[in-house]
Amino acid sequence: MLAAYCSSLFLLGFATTVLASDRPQRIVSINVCTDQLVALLVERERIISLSHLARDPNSSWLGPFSDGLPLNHGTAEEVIALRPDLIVTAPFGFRPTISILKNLGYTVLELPIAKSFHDISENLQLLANAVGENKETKALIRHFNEAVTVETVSSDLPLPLFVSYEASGWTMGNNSLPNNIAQRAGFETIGDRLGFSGGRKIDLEKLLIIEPELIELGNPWNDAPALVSEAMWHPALQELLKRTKLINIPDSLWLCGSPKTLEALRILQRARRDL
Amino acid sequence: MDNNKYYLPLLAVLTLLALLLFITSLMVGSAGTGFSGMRAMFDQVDPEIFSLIIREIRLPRAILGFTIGASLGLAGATLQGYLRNPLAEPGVIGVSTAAALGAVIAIYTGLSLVMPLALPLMAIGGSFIVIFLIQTIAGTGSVATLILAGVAISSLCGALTSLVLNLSENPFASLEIVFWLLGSITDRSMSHVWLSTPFMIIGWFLLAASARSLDVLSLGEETAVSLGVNLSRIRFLVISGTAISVGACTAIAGVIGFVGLIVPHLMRPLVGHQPSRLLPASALAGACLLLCADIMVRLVNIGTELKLGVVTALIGGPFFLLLILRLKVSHRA
Repeated sequence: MLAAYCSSLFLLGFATTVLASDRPQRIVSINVCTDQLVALLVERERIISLSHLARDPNSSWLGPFSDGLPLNHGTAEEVIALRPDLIVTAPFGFRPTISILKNLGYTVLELPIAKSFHDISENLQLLANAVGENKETKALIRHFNEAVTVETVSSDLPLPLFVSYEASGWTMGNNSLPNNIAQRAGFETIGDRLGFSGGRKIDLEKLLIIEPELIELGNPWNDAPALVSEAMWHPALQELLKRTKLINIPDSLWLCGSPKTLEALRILQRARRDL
Repeated sequence: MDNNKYYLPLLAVLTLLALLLFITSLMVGSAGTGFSGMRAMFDQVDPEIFSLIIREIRLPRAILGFTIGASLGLAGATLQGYLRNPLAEPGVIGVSTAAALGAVIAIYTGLSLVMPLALPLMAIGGSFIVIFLIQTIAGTGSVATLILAGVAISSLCGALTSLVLNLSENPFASLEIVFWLLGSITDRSMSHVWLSTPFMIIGWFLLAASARSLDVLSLGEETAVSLGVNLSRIRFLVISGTAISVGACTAIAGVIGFVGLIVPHLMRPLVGHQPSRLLPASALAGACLLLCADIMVRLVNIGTELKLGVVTALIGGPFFLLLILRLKVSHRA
């Protein structure tokens, strides 16, 4: 199985690795997740533009990296005006934009949404193949793969329950990055407990009866208030917080899968040890 | 049918039904439904969590189901009587959407974090402006004029609501458009009850005070004036009563359409056309309808929770069309 996977990765790499001479020189990322991978794997001179969320500290850890780079909002017109030779995006994007760009003959690389560390590693390799690898990028990918395999699951049963819950009710089930990370850190997840995959709204009473041992509540967004911010103050949620340990994992670490996502894993592993 | 003889028993039945639905509402939810579900929940969790779920999650929901339903039913019946238009309803004429716009501005600018009262007050302000506008533009016009003015105002307010939410830097704000346009009372807390119910009750008193004059008004404006009805007084009562009660509902539950439309039509065959009798019956029936819709929302298991406005629209939409069809027939006749 592993061998088959490695060989397919090798073949894929062989087929799509570009020669140094015709590596794309004008790379544009139009998605907040691909921004991060592009920033890691591509020399700054070859990055023409990143998405407008690249500078938003709530969604991206890139911080000052994007200073001085023009930011785009992912519309076909502005992307074309940047004269890119490679457009990198994720399938969250607005579909008509991507099909217009493809029809006009632009090279568009769509990196799938990472739902596990394995996906992150695959995305890194896909992007590296498209932009051309060098010694540093090879080392980066190797380090990431090593770090991921070293992390092992502690498996004493029963596992404590971890829930990441937006106060508005949104939570992620199985087959999602947050749940995969929590499972790796040795937690039972809400997806395991309630048996569902993907995002779902869970109301407060459901949250109260499953009684998680550890909870993560996301960003309270007090600087840009919404119903989410208000929901944090629900007396039932406040009561639950008196009985449950609360941790905070910045959204930017695991909203998108990147090597930085390892930090989310470390936070959860530490919390698991301290329980 | 002798409406007089059945009126008080009807009110008693409606009250009993509302009470029954209120208790049922306390017994329905994702943590455990019905007697056996509640029993299992009680055995499974700590008694403190159990009482927390009932007290802080289900009780506010049941109270709001009752008060919001009553407000919408009452406001619908009053507006239909006052505007003498069978299609008048807070949702249809844009009063609810305007209230939502006021509430959205209060929340997303952060005003309601600093001053919680700003939330109901801004919503009431929004609905006040719109109902005043509607009354001025279309109050004496035809059925169609009123509905057209309502459509224009609702779409304008809906668009402005979406605009405010899109302008927010919070990515969840755009997801919350659904809440404001379709309405929900999921996971509202007792503080929402305290924030809105006093206003709703003030609104009910104002609307109830208009009932007698509305009876006389149904004979026509000139007759009413000659019988000593003070037109500007009833105008004040109806406009402020509707604005305050509908504004307070919408501030905490979003726009819930059609309740105010359906309920008076369901009640009229039972109690007759006299507004003073229609109003109490519509308030109670509105409470029953909304409690019922909110129980259905929780019982239908589609993985994620249905919005309240979806259920009321599923019932109300076809009803509205039927009503238009009947109006067309009676116009031809």
